[in-house]
Amino acid sequence: MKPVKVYVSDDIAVDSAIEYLQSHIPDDVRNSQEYGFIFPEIKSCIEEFSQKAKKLANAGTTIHIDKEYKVAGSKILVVLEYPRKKGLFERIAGILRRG
Amino acid sequence: MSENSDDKNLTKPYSGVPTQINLGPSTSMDLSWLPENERKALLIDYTKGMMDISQKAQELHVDAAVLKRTLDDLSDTTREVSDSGNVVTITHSQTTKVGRTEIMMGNSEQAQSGKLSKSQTGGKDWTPYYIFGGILALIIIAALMKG
Repeated sequence: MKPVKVYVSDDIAVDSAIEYLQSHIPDDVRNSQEYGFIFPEIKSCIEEFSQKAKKLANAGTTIHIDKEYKVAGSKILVVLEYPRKKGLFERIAGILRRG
Repeated sequence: MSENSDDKNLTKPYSGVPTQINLGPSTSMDLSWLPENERKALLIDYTKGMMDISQKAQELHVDAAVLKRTLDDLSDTTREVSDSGNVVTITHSQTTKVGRTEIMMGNSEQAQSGKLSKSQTGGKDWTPYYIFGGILALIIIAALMKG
């Protein structure tokens, strides 16, 4: 089963990432008993680790964290990436701008 | 004290088998219509489920605490190596009952890619097998064409 994935980086607000995740979790998972204590843990993982990762990124370190949770037979994947990795198009645009 | 709070979730009749389960602060389920033996079986299942959940909660807390400490250790090491002017890539992967965790950090190009190799994730790298298979297929095709 495909995991519900949330991506958090320097250009994405933590609150909106949590909201996005909540809205994409299937109802059967949300109604399970495990969800009640796992979701606050996922939320604090996003909040705490994004702060730490942000600090590290500001100090010049690249950090990438994939944290997967198993909840009621489903998987929730939290991806934290600081600073955000530039895509191919962004890199080409950057080269063109410099050129 | 905790025994008292546990007792609040169950209403006990004279037979000793509860007739009601409190499923939440404002939700309860009446079991008084069930025969005592069925009620007992249902309550055993309910208790087992609650124990599984509290065990999972405990595992989750341990997992979170370990991850926090690991992240602190890795970031300290990365900072020290970076400060000394060297290039560093640190990877960490771990699979527990709660789920899987992969961390990659550093100041190198590999760290910037954020992708762990198969050996770093602990997975099997099938590339050599694919190469060998391809070579074998070419040899067979060449032999068939000659023949």
